[in-house]
Amino acid sequence: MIDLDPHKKWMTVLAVAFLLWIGSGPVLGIAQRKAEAHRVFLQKEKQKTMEALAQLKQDIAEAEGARSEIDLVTARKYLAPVDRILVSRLLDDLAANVRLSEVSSTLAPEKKVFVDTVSAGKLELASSQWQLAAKAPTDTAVYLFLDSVEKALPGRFVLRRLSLERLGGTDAVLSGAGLRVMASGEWLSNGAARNWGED
Amino acid sequence: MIFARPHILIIVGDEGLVVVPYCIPDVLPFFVSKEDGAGLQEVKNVVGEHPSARLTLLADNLAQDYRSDDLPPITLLDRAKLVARRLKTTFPSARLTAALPFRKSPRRVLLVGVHESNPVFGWVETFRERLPEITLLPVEGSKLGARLMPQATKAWAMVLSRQKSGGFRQIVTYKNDLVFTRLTPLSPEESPASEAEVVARDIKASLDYLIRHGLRNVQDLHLLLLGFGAKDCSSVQETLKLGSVRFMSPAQAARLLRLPFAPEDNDCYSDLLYAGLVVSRLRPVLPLMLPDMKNIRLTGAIQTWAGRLSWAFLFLAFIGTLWRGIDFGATFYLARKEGAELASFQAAFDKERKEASPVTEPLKILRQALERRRIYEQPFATPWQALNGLLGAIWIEGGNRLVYVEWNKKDSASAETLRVGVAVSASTDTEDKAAVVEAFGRVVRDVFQALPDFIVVSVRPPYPSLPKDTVSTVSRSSEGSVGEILLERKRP
Repeated sequence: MIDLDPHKKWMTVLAVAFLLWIGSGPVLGIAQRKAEAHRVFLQKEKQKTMEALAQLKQDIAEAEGARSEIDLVTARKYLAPVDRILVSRLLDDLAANVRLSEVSSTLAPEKKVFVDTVSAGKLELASSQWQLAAKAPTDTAVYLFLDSVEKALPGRFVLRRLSLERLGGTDAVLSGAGLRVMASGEWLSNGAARNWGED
Repeated sequence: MIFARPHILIIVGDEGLVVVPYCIPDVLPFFVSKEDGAGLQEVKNVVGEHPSARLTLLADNLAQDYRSDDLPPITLLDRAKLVARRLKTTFPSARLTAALPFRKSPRRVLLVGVHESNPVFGWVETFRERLPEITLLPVEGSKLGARLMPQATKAWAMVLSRQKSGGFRQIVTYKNDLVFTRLTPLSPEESPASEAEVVARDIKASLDYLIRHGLRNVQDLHLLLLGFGAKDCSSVQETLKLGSVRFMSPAQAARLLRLPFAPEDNDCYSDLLYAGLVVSRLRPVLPLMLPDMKNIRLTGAIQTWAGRLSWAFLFLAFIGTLWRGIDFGATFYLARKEGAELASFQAAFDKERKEASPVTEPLKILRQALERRRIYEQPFATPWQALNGLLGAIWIEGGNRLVYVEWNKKDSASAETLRVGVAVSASTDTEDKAAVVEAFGRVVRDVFQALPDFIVVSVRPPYPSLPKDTVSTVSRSSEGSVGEILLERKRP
């Protein structure tokens, strides 16, 4: 049997050295990796926060610019849904204002339309085909009617087809003999409200 | 020699001791007779005064035996066991045994036994704490012949020397392997002349033994006499008729071998020669030690070297750990720094966001509203410009009349068209169809000039006159004076 007593001291030192060598590697290695991962995570978070701060500053500048172009009340109006019955009634009223008679107007059902924008993303709009048939005293009345429709109604009232036909004898001028008018086009708007309380 | 460790070599003979200090200043080699108690004490004092000096006992006495033996063809693993068994059977009462292989004959081995009565053991016990190593003069001196007589490497050689500590020592080698040795005690009364007789007698006695060891012819034996006068021993060659006889003084031999020290020129004793031979080597040819001392020395060596290596390893492990620890510390510090910066940025961001919320909260509404406004306010095509130009070109005052207008623009990509019905008034009778058609043509030209952005096409003249029409002089009631013009806006 080998007597290990004289060798206890150096064996203890060797064991400690071995444990230190073997143990420190994995332990410190794991700690190092965790610390590094945490540091990288913090760096990324810091980067994100800086980007968010820069974005916030951009948003502030943009908001101030937007406010100089449009106020909040007007902006809310631009987002409000349309009342189709009211629009139809308005068309009749505008026609009556310029003494159009035998007015018949129709608004086709809405179709969803999506428009990509730069700052507001994809906007959902509604497109309706409209038609109007009436008798007008003069062609000027027709022009005034269409102009007032363009200005008064919400959204975008686009004329696609206009037909004016003189009523009465061929000797009478178009502008003075009364005429039949038929017009149609496309109405782009925010669309009608689908649910109660929808703003 | 600069880095040589202090070394005390003691030649232990049957007559006394020769103490040879090496690299120890102020101590000269000296001889102590075995009866000289004071001298023996002096030896102990010298050794005791140099505790760090290496201590070697070189035994040159009678109580040592040598036997050559042949081994059967066996593996190396079994060879050690067989040799151990042969040593035990050959020297059953020896205190120390060893085996020395023959270089030229791998299956032959020289068995060495050092008997209990050897005086070297007494000194081993005296200096037990110093763990002295034991060497044997015949073994250490066996290479002397080959180095001083080149022919000894290929033949039989005998070196005969005399030591003050022991006597006349014969060392016989065959092809540089120790074959035989013999010690003849010194006789102080011998005269040089009788010395020669003693030498010749000793050699002759050995010759018979050597013949049994394989010496076929005495002329194959070459003799080197160290410390003998050539004149006095000149008869040796005449008497023995050996291969060659060479005379050399120990001092000459030491100088020839370039040993670290040499005997005096007139010293006939070879003690210092052998001592110089041993100390000049890094390691003796056959270092021996008592088993218990060997264990102690081995334990001490292991403790020393293993301890040094362990501490070195611990130091390296510590350095490695420290290195990794520094890396970890640096990373940890950087992470803390990043964390502090992040907290600062986060606080600044939260503060800014809170202050700006009244401005930025409705931003989405404002963006949407502005985009919707932009879409709704996009210009679109209208017929007014074309109609204005048309009215100017038709010359209503001249009697021409617009009968109908049909304007179309199906979508933003398609062309804008205007289909116009014009009733033309001719300057002459409207029954003159040609005149009406001509007048209509003028109207078309006028329209073309008035609306350069449009392509103007006469679709149908007031009366059929186009190549595809049927022209008749019979006036039909369905015919009128209304012609149709088609205008299409030119694409850019």
